[in-house]
Amino acid sequence: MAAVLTALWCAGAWASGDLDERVRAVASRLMCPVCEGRTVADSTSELAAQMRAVIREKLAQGETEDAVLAYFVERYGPSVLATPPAAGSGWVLWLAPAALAAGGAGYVVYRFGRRSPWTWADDGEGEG
Amino acid sequence: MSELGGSAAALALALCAYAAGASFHGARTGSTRWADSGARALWAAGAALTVCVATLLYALVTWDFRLSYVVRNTSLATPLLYRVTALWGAQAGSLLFWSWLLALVASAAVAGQRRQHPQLSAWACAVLSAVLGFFLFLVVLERPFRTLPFAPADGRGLNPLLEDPGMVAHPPLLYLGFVGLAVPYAFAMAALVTRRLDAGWVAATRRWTVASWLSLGAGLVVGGWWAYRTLGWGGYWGWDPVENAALVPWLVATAYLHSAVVQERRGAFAAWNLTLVVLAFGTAVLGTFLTRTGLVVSVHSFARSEIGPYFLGFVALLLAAPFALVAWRWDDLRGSPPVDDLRSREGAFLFNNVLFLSFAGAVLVGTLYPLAIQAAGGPQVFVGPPYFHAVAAPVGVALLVLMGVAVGLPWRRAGPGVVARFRYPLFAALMVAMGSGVVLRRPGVVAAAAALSFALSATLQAFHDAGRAGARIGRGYLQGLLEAFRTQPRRYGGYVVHLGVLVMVVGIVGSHGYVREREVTVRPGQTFTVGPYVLRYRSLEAGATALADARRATVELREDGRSLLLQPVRLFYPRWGQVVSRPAIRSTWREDVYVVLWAFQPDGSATFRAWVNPLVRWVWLGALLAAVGTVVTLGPRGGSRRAVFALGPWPLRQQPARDGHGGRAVREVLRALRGPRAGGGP
Repeated sequence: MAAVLTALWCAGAWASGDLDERVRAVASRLMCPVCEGRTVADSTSELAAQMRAVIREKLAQGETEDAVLAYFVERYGPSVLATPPAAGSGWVLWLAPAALAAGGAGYVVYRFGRRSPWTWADDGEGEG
Repeated sequence: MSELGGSAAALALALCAYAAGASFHGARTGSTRWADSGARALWAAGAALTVCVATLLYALVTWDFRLSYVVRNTSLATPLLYRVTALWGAQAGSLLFWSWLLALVASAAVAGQRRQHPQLSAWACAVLSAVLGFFLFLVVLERPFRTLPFAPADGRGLNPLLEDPGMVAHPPLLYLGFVGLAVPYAFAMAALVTRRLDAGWVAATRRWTVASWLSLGAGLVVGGWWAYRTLGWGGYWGWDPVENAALVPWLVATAYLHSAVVQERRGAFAAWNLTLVVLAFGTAVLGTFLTRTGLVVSVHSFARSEIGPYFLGFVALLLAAPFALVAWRWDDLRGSPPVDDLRSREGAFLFNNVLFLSFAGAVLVGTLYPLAIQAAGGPQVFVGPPYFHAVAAPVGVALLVLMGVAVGLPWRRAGPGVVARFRYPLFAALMVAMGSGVVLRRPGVVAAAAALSFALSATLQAFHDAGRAGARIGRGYLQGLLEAFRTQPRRYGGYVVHLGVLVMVVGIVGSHGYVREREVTVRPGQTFTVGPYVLRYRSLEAGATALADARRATVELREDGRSLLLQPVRLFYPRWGQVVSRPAIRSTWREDVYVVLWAFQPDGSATFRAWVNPLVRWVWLGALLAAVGTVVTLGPRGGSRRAVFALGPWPLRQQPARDGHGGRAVREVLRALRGPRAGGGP
């Protein structure tokens, strides 16, 4: 409880949606083209720094986040996106977790869920 | 020297082959002599490997530059500690180290079980020897003792990123976790072959599984801690493919630890547990394969080589063989007792497994998807943090809710009265949801906070019930709690692990949801802000270490009238052409101020990246708490039920409830407090 309250107390000061945060949001959706497996937000390369500056500039000019992403896709190709869009084979990726969870839960309910109905007579008996 | 190491490796491989053959023969014919001979050969292989490792270690420590491995991974400037850790700093050495750990773990497991379970142990010894043999084959291919035609005066040195205390512990812990999972795997195979599919193999390997899980988890956390302190990108977990490769077996093992409890208690889930154990070790080897062959693009690509095809074939065999055995033994597995009702602890464990495996599956799909697209001739794509965050958040919240629900559910079937047990947790969740809804205004974080407080209060209530049981019969609250830990270390230790995880979640949500970040170029004397903090750039000093040019910036942080100096360092290693930016971190329980010296110009101006990372400390604290809880579950079980649990036949006799409150766990505490056998055991 204390931890949760601490978190709330702290979070009050943090909640905001300023430009820095939006730059970070866009940068973490882009892959740094010259380094291995790092997003533009996390990368320590020169190019990533320039890309962050471009993102900041464009967002400050009032462009939407999607427009900025589209700009980079146009320049560097779709491999610049940190996550493939949910289109084409990307659907496989995005549906896999939901399919696994729904399939698993569905199987469990189908296999084990149809047993005896819940009757009041059972109350308290099962604890063993 | 190199001849000694090389021949010891070859000898170990030969001994392994013999151990596999002799154990197999002994197990099949029931000959104790052959089985004993196989076990002894495995121990001898372990001894030969120890010689092998000692030889390489000696060569590293004494700078024996005739060895190519020593030249490539140490230099005269490398301190002793990192000459030792160079043992696992690159491909050939780390494979040797892996095999050595596997040999030790396998030897200990076989030695520990062969009196109690001779037949299981013989089969397990055969499987473990075969697995070890494969890795030794790779070691022999990789030739860690390869010599150079002449000995250079100095070596190239360890990759500078690896010269960090975090790197001392991170790889050994991960490897220990990986190889430890081989033990339950081997015993599961043994159980399949011998058709002894009761909970015997589960009980026999429980400590190994828990210890491996602990080691793997600790390895992951230490890795994150290392990344946070060393890599200078402001975070501790990047969903890098190699991190994912170690996370997947940990998730599968977590699922198994929970469902194994059901098999030990109720005899259910026999086939399912076999599947989980096979998946855990299979994905662990797959993880090693991804790490060690550089197949995936990753910051971990310190070591690459051409052993890929062998590895892939081996993973396929590891996974295929047990499933073939399961198909062969299907009739024996079908008979396991069913789950009576989903509204029970068994039911909660089932949903736990669904969630953990979905998560593991999603992480695996996300990690392998780029490889699959490329293999199909498609473009290069990445699956990065946004995908994994999108998956982890809902699964995490669902797991938190389930954690709270499971604590309050009894075995077999819950009556309607069970709802009353959740009144405090539900109240807490409601209050926090309303409170955080006003403050946080982010639906995801509000859901996480509510689920967190639900799970937290349900877990604390379990402890409170035990304490109150002690107080009720006049032995004191504290005594009741202690008795709970003494009689049921697995249950209450597990709850401590849950508490640790909850504390970690506080940190994870805080440090992902509310990061503030700045990137600025300033002249000396100028100030910049990040979040609520004002930082003044004071000066830049040039210096040098043995291998690197160093620049150290001094940044002043003013807070409550006091000023604090932060000194981030930027190191350039000309020999590797590598830049390492070591951050300066001011850490409190509320948040970390994290400053990186990013670049500098001749005129003295410097570019900084600064972050305010909330609640990061809670991640490390929670991990520590979880580790303590895990150690508690490994402890001996007090009280009188030990015999029933060791190898008990299922189904265990059920006891009717005697008082409406708290369930069986609390009655157990009461019974222990009242004295031995006073309450009558099963």
